[in-house]
Formats: sequence, C-alpha cells, structure tokens
Amino acid sequence: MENRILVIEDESLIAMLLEDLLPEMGFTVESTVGTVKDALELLEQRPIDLAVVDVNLGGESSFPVADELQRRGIPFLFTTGYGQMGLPEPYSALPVLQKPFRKKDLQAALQALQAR
Amino acid sequence: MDHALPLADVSATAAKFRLYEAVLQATPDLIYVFDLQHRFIYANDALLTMWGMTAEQALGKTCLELGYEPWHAAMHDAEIEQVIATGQPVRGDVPFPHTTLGVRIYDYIFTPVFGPDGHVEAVAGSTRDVTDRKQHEQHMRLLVNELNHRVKNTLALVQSMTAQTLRGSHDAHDAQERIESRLMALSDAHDILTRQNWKGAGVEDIVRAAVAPYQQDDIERFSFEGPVVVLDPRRAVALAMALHELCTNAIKYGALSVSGGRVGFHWTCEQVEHRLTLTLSWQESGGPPVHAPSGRGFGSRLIERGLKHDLGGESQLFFEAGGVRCRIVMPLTLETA
Repeated sequence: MENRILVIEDESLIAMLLEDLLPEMGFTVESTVGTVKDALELLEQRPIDLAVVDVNLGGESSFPVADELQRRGIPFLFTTGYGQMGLPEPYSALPVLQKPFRKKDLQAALQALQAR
Repeated sequence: MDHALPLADVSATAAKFRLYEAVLQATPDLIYVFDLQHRFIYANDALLTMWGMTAEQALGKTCLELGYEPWHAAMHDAEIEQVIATGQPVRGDVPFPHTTLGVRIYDYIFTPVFGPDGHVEAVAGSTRDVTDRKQHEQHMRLLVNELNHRVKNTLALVQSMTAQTLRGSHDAHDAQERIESRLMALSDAHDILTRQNWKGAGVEDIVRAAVAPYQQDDIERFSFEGPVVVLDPRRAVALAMALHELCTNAIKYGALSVSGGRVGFHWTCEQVEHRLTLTLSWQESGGPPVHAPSGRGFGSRLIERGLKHDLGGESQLFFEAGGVRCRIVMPLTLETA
C-alpha cells in the first residue's frame, strides 16, 4: 500500500500541524481540504490511500465524506474535539483520534489503518 | 354509617375537608385519585384546566375514555395495577399535550391509598410540569458539550502553534517569547468573541485588539478604516492571529521598527457577481528597505497558507520595496454582512 494521504480539516493550524507531522512519519500529504464539497471533489480527481477526517468541518458534519471514503474502500481516521460520544451510528465503531493528540498516537492509529 | 356522628365531629370533618380542598386547589401540580377500576374519582383544578374539562365531564372516566393515546392509557393502567398489587408508589415522566400550553413534560407519582383493612382502596397521583427544568438540563448538557469541544479544539491550536513555533525558533528564549505573544493574541481573540457570546466579532474590534499592544507610544502610526463587518468565530480567530503576525513582523523588521514608519489597514465590502466580498489590505510605509525573506516562517505560512484555508478566500503577502503589503480577499455569506 502506498502512503498518499488526504487531510480533511477546517482549522488551518491543525491542518498545518498534520502537514508537518505526516511527512515525518513517511506519508505524503496529497492535499488538504477544509469543506465537504472540496473533499468530495478531490476524491473524484486524485488517487488517495488514506485520509484523516475532522468530524466537524466549520459546523458541517463530515459524514458524507466518510460515506464516500467507505464506498471507495479508502481507510480513514476521524479526528474530533468532541469526546467518544461525538460519533453516532453507524460511525461509532470507526477509529477516532481525540484532539489534541500525541504524535505517536497519530502514527499508531495510521499504521493500524494500513494493517487492515 | 351505623351511627350518626356528633355535631362537633361533623363540623371538624367539614373544616378539614375545606382545608385539604384549598391546599389541593392552590398547587400548580396536577392532583388526582383513581379508583380500583382506574377511573378518575378526583381531579384538582390544575388538572381540569390541563384537560380543558369540567369535573362533571371528566370524573368517572378512565384515561382511555378521556382521550389519552392508547399507549399512554395502557402505560398508566399497568402502573395503577402495579401500585394496587405491590402497595408501593411508582414514578415516571411522560409528554402530554396541555390544552393551552402545547406538549409539556410531566413528572408523576402514583401512590397507594390504604383502606382500614390494609388493602389498597384507591391510587392517588401527583403530577408536575417539569418541561422548563428538562429544557434547562438539556441546554446545560449542550453547553457543557460545546464548551468541551471548544476547549479541546483550542488546545489543539495551541499544540500546533507551539510545535510550529519551536521549529522556527533559533533558541529557547526566542521560542518562549513567540509562543507567549501568540498565546496572548489567541486569548485576546477569545475575549472579543466572549463579549459577543461567541456569535462572531467585528473586524474593527479584531483590529483594535491586535494593534493594542503596539499602539501605546504613538497612536498615529496605525490607521485603520472600514465598514462594519462581523466575522464568525473561526474566521475571527484566524484574522486575529494573522494580524498579530503582521504586527510582530512590522515591529521587528518592518515599518514599525523605525520612527516615522506607518501602517495602514483598510477593508472594503463589495458585491462581486451576486456575492459579498470582503477585501482587507495591510500596507506598511516609511520603514527600512524591505528584503523578501529567504524562507517562509510560521507567520508567513499562517497568513498565506492558514488564512486562505480558514477564510475560504485568498491571502497574499508582498515584500515590496516601499513596505510589506498584505491583501486578503474573502467571500461573505449574507448573514455575516
């Protein structure tokens, strides 16, 4: 499996942090988008191996993006500032990383996705 | 009755009855009694008002006969049977349409009335409208959840800012100063938002807060002007952080590092193709000769990369000979204009 990763995060500072951390872990950040619309467009255009998806994109839920990623069979990691209770069915069993996160937890979560 | 009561006892019983009746009618709670066949044999005025019925219309009828939904009537039938069988009270809450107030949430207790033989001879009930309390509790839960989200999100911002500042700093002292001033900028932005109940913040308020730490000596060095525009919290924080970086850069290397240097910040709001567009422009003048930096530090990255992402528009820095210039263009939704 290749390492092209899509970052879906509305908060630019957190997007920038991910853009710094992910290459250090051996991933290539293919693109960073902050809205559902941009994320869906990007998935149409570019091949992606993995995604990091913020649950809340500027007040908009990112679940339509999660649905599309699942349809395409692309593994992804949710990030959220809401606790575990933040994810309703049918997403409650999917991997979630709480913000703020440790670098090693991000790395472990992404490696677990790749191992699936 | 086998024998007539003495007159004094009759009058005492009547007095007691008047007392109880006054108490039962005085409370806003709904008070009632069911017989063993689940028929209402007593209902206070509050309950009659909720039903919109007279005592004659209501008494002697079961919940179902009074028009309760079948599931609701069946639930109370089971509860009444439970009280009769166990001699223990039951408690629950249920939504019910009040005749004039609409659907309300009611908390109720059914409790046994024991006869002289120790058997349950009736079931008395008391019901309280707890709609306001329930709504308040729900509101509190939402607030706490939202607060938690904001705190976590802000901590993640701080994490990112700290990590990126450490990357770009040459020593610990320098890093400490930069982190501190960035945290203060973030804190000031939060103060503005808190004053407006986190609904948004005006561009002018954001600018005033951003320049305040640098404006003490010479108020004339900064000029800013523009129409009233309110930004949502996320954009407000992004703009505040970007302005902080512009100010810091101007003080350290730009127009504000020498006497006589000036900064102008102006914004305009225009309709472009049916869409309101906010254009903000930062212009330094009278400073030392400008050299474009060799690499991009956190500040430049925040303005060009970060702001663009947060505002959904364009943001560019120009290192021009006459002074640093920054141009930010963002579409506004109609509500924010």
